[in-house]
Parts: sequence; structure tokens; C-alpha cells
Amino acid sequence: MTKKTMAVFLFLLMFTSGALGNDQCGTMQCPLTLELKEGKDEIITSGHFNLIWPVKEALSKGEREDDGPGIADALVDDETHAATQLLIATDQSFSQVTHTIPIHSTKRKISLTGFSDGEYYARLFDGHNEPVSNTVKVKVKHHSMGRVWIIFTSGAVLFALLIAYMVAKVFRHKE
Amino acid sequence: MDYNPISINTALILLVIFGIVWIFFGWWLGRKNKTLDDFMLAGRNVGLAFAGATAMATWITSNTTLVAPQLTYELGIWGMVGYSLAALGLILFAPMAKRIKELMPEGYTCGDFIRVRYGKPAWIAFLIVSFCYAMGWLVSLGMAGGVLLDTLSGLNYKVGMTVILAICVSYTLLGGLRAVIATDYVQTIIIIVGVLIIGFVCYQSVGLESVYEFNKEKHPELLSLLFPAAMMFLFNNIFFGIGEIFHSNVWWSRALAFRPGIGKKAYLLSGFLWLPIPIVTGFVALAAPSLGLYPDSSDMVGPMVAAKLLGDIGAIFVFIVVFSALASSLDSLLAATSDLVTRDIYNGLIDKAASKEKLHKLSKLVILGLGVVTWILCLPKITTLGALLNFTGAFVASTIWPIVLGLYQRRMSGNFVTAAFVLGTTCGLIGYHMIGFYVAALFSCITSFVICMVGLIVKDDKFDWQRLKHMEKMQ
Repeated sequence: MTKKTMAVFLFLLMFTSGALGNDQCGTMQCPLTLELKEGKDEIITSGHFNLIWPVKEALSKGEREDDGPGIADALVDDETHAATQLLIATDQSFSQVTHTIPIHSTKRKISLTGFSDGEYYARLFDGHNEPVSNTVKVKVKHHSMGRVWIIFTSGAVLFALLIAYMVAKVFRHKE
Repeated sequence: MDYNPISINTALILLVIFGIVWIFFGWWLGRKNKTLDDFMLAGRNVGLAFAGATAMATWITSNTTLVAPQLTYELGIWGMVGYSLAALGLILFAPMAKRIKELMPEGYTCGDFIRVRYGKPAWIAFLIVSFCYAMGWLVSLGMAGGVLLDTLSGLNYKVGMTVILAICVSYTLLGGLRAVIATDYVQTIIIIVGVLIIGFVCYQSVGLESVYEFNKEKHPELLSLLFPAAMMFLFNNIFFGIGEIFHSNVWWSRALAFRPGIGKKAYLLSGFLWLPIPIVTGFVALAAPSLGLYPDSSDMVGPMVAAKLLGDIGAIFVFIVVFSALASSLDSLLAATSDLVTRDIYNGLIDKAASKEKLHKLSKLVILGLGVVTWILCLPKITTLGALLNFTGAFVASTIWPIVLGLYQRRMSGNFVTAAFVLGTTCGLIGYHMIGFYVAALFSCITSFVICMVGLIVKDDKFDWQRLKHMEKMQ
């Protein structure tokens, strides 16, 4: 591979990853890395998912220095970060924001629930509405109703059989 | 944490006070234990009030106060209703408790029943199923202690989990089942009053209408009756709850400990009283989004909302309620699992001639050992409470039909029951990994049912019920 080809390849790689993942916050590297805990490409089948953003060592600071760092570290998890809100939108440019969730400076993960089928984009922002993390895409696609009805009906039939047996044999049993 | 209403100091003071009170209570009650029957089965003479309270308190576990809100938060209305219907386990077990006491008045554990009724292969398969479940439940309870303190005070998960586990192991070790039942009585009162107050305050502060409107707009699946995962969860949780109770020595040891004629009434009473509790704790979870509360982990949602609504002082109250629920189950499970290990594994397989005194001492060591193993397994919080518990559903739901048919059908044969345990559990685990935690128990129960039905048709064991009366020793 020539140097020129390599340069073009690297440029395209950077351009593509920026467009898909929004790893840049303005001109800087984002201080927080937002991740879907279930896995990057995982399709969410129950409408419930978890987002995490581990705090990088260099950016964190303790709030309980008066307790002594050793004791505080053992007792509490108190690293802080710049994010103040998590936005969830149905488009990557965040023009259709569906959820605005306040985030405390020590929070590092969140559990979200009750989402319908669709593609959602999540990103952390600071107090000045500037992004402080990459964008995460979450695809929600619930189980097919065909499968659900088969399982639901099987459960209902088995339950009816158990209740019928209990009523006929167990509750009426005489020693 | 973004909301820690209790300071670390307050949390530690509460832990110390609770620890001293419960451990002293355990020691005080344990002074009356003279024999193995006293330690394991509280002298086989427990009356209705204590019997009803212990059944209810044990079933109101950290699962009810932490996992019921979690499942409502994840699966909405069906999650709440499905969890509540786990009360059917207690209600359906009521007539069986009477039958168990009549069939095996000298029995100690559910393992005794499986061994005599179905033979050694089924007994070994059952012990594996039962032990996996017991460890899963124990670990979930230990984790719940850590989650509770982390949510309310920000205290490191590992520190909270360790302290709560140490307290429960200590008083169970000192008092045996007598201490477990007595503390359950006190804990039941605390739990019922506490849950009712929290539910009432939530209803007054947030209101049904605002919860409905907010979730309809922001989290619509939670209110949908056609929520796919939740529809699959409904019957799964019913079978999980029934399987938990039908097979577990926690409930069998109580059936054997209660005075004759008490078991049926106690289990019916506790079942009907328990039924509305998950509805209340579940409603609390549905209110979380409308309060702007989104937990770090879905199993934290219950105490998080309660603490937010009740304020700083109320958070202490929440701590007491959840701690009581947790302790009442943890002690019961430690005692019952210790019985199973001592009687079934040690006395049944290793030292068949062991004296009752030796077994008494050993059961205490087993409680200690279970505490240590649980602590080690709790350290890396690998999953949420709900997911862990439903994993064990794959094991326990395979036991429902073998237990019911074993108590009432002479035909049921041991070979088919062994296959039902093994294949039922296997199918449940496959469902857990292929589809989700919300089908594990259902798949397990369906497979076990089919095998049991085939067994009933093709083979007649002609079991003699008298063999259970005197608890035959293993050949």
C-alpha cells in the first residue's frame, strides 16, 4: 500500500467514524465515552437498556478529601464529571429530542425503560448544552407478536392444567 | 449516586444498631435450643400467628421490595401483576403443607421426600437443582443488601453487602429456626406498615393520573398490555413463584415445624396477605420517571423513589423496611439450606450414622460456610437482582409437577422425574440465553410437564405411602 493510499484510507476512516459515532465534542476529543452496556450492536428486545460512561482517571476528582482519601475510596464511589444532562433523540442531529434527563456529576450509568420500536440516539451534554460524550445509537425491536402469542398461550394452558389438577385433586384431598 | 438521602455515618450507625438488636435476639432465642429438632424445626410446635408471619415475611423478601419494583420498571403493568401472582405459590402450597405433615411427620427436609419417594438418581438431581436455586437466592439477597446501602447512602456496594451478610449469618447461627421465625414475626409487622406508608405517600404525592400521563408519553410500553417481553414474563413468573415454593426446603421445613393443622391456614393467610404487596411496591417504580428518577441499575428503583418521596428521615425508614425484608429471607434461606446440606448431603451420603448432636454442630458450620460462599459470589455484582433470580427459575420450575404428582399420585416413577428435573432445567436455561430471562421458568415447566405426563402413562410405580411415615434411610 502506497503512502498516498494509506493517507486517503486513514482520512476516510476518521471521517466515517466521526459521522457514525460523533466521537468529537467541538474540536476536542470527548471527555466521556458513552456506551450501551448490553453491547454496541445489541438489538434491544424488551424496551429496556442501560447506558454507562466510565469516568477517566485524569478527569475525576474526589469530593470527600476531608475524610481521608483511603477511607473515602473504600466507602464511596464519588468521581465527578462534566455532564449535566442526557438527551435521547430519534435522529442523530438531536433535533427530535424525546427525553431530557438530568444527570448528577457523580452518576456513571443509567437504566432506561419502556421504549417502543425504533432507533434512538443518546448523548451527554454539559450545563452549556455542549456535548461531552460521543453519540450512542440504540435500536429497539421488540419480540415478534407471533412468538409472544405462542409462548403466552402455552403458559396459559399449562397454568390452567395446574389449577385444574390442584382443585380436582389437591384441595379436595381427604386423608 | 445522584440521590443519597442518608449520610454514610447514619448508614453505618443504623447497621450497628440493627446488627446488635438482631444478633442479641438470635442469641436470646437460641438459648432454648437443646436438640437438633429445636435448632432445625423450632421443636415442631409453631402456632398460627408465628406460622403465618414467618411464611409471609419470608416471601416478602428483598425480591418483593427491590425486584418487584425492578420488574415493574422494566416490564410495566404486566411485570407488576405477574410478580404479584407469585402469591399463588403460597396459596397452592397450603393444602400440600397439610399433606406433607401427614405423610412424613418425622421428616426434616424436602430432600427426604424426594429420596424416599423417587429414589437416589432423582434425589441427586433434585439436590443439584435445589442447591443452585438456594445459592442464587442467597447471592441475590446479599447483593440486595449492597444495592440498598449504595442507593440510600452511597456506601460502597461491597462494604454494605459484607456487613448485612455478616449480621444475618450471626443471628441465624446463634438462634436456628426459632430465631428465624421470631425475627420474621417482628419483621412482618415492620414490612407491612412500611410498605403501606410508602405506597400511600407515593399515591398522595405523585398521583395515578400524572404517573399515567407521563409514562404514556415517555415510556409507552410500560402501560401497554401488548408489551411483548412482559406478556411472556406473566406466566413465567407465576411458574417461577410456584416452583420456588413447591420445591424449596424453606417452605417444607416450615410445613414440618408448624403444629399439626396449622400449615394449611398459615400458607393461605400469608398468600392472600402477600398478594397486594408487589402491587404497592410496583406502583412506586412506575412513579420513578415522572419524578425524574432514573436509577443507575433498575434494581435500585424501589428504595430510590421511596427515599425521594419520604425525605431524609423517611429514607431511614425505607432502610429499616428493606433491611427487615432482606434479613427475614436471608436467615430463613440460610437455615433451610443448612438443613438440606446437613441432612441430605452429609447425613445421607457421607456419614449415615452421624448422631443428632454431631449434625447439630455441623449445621452451624454449614451456615457459616454458606455465608462465606455467598459473600464471595456477591463480590463481583455480575448482573441485576431480577436477572439473577429469574436464572434460577430455569431450575425450580422443573420441580413443580414432580412434587405435586409425587404427593398425590402413586403411579409417578423416579426415572421420569429425574429426566423431568434434568431436561426441564436444560430447556429453561436454553430459553434464558436464547430469548430472555422472562421465559426460563416457563420453558422449564413445560418440558417437565410433558415428561411427567409420559411417565404417568407408560409406567406405574405403585408407591407405598407408608414408606414416607418412618423416613427410610438410604440403602
